[in-house]
Amino acid sequence: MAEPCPRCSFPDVPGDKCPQCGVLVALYRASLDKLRRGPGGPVHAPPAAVFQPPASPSAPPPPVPVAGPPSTLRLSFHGSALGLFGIQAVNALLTLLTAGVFYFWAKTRVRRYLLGESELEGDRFAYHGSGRELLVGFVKGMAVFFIPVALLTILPELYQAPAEIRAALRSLLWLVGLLIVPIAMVGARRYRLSRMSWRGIRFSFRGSARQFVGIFVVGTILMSLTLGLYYPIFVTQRQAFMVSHAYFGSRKFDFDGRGRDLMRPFLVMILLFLPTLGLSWFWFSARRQRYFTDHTRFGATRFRSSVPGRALAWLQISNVVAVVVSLGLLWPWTVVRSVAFTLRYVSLLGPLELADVHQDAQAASATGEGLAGLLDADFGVG
Amino acid sequence: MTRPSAPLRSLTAAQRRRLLALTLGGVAAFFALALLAQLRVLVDAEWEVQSLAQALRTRALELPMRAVSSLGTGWVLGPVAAAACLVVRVRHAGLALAVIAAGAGAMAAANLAKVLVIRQRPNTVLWAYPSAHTFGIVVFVSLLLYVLWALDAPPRWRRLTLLGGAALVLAVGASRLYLNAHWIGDVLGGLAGGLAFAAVGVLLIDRRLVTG
Repeated sequence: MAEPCPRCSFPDVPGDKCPQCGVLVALYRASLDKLRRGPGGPVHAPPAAVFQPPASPSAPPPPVPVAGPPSTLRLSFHGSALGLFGIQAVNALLTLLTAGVFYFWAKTRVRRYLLGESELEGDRFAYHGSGRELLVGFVKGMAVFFIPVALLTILPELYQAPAEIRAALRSLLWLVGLLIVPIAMVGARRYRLSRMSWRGIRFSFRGSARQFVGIFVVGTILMSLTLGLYYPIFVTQRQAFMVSHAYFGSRKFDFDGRGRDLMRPFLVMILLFLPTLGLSWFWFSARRQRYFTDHTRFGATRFRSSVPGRALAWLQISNVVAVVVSLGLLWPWTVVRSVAFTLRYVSLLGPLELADVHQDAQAASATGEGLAGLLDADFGVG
Repeated sequence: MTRPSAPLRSLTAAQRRRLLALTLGGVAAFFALALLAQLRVLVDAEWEVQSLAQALRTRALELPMRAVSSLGTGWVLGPVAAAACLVVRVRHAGLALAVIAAGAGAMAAANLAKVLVIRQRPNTVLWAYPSAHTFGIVVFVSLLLYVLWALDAPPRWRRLTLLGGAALVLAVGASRLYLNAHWIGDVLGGLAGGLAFAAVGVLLIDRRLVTG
């Protein structure tokens, strides 16, 4: 019996592929299952296969891969300030009632909302993280971060250590911070990507923290030595690491940007910083965003950003003004418009070939996420 | 000139207790289902029901199911409730007003309740729990039954309304599953929430218009 398409409701799908929306029914069903199971849950449908080729020669020919037309694909955001405001109202109430413990669940709810309202090719993204994971990550992060910091700051005072030892310990503390920040950034990215999915396929991050610590420490030192002129190269190296170790299922993203390409816009920004009262920073920021996006690829698909500097400046300045003037009440509005803004200017060029992408989820703990929260080394909304 | 109001039947103490129990049970079931949905406890059962519902889909049933589903929307329930209240107004203006207020409150409550659980539907769109269609139709049918009872309508009408209303609730709930718009937990949540809301509404109307 022909099955209806679970995505577009086309009543009788003759084979594996819906003639109306082009989705592979088996993949989509598996995706729905995984969408709801969250991390680590068993699955009903074959987890690895997007399409199972027919076993016998008499069977119908294999369907073509799920491929969008070689035109532009756009991301869209369906969220509203009112929706997020409602979520925040419930979050605030429950956080107050639980003396702050609900904060981790509140964070999860906001992420779930923001991703659940983001759409590509008619399907929403999903977030599978839980508040419990964040709470455990926070506790572990506290232990990793605060125990050394407490030992290095309180003990010298307690034992009246000489000035030289205190200075040495302060340097050590700075060094600990320098090491922990990149570890937290990698951990947070690993956790968040591992809890994100689209059509049931998980994202993941497979970069090594040690490698990123190297990039971060060298970059920070060179930034100091060059009085900040190394910034474009440093930030591009960080972006390259974060993007090129990110995966969607079994396929990785690629980044082919070079820091020196941003050097000229950066120098122009510095020269114009005072005459433009700092507004040149937004122009550079938009340029950097476009550059990073334009040099990101996923298989044959290339990302493209057209974010204009003026619009970015208006968005960020008006967001700050709105939050300050409303005493934080307009925070949901600023978040929603920021996400909508980002997605509005991003497009995907070329065919989105997913046929050979299969589920390859990676385990990840929330300790890095907890550390990132503690150190304010966040890299995303929510 | 104010319209003379027909006398309304009052709830007995035992009926009030039963409605209170229904309210508490409904609220408890609503929050329990919300928690189970949040914790993904019902995944297997929901998936089985969803698979079954999707396997039953045929071209011939698409349009009828969409029509049935639309019966639970404000676009249909609003005008129908308004028309019904115009008829009720002839007998009791206060009751008509109270029912309109309860209907508006139900729409607001169903949408506010969705903020509790951030859950994706089978078609990946957000705001799955509870099913507002089911919530709305349950409140509508329950209030209609109460109005007929309070105005002392003939028992035959009430029996017909009860049977028709129950069939309507079932049909709207089933259509939401059929159209891949909700999980079974969302529909049950809408049912529990709608019953609790309607019971509270009836208790308040009785207290305000009849007893008090």
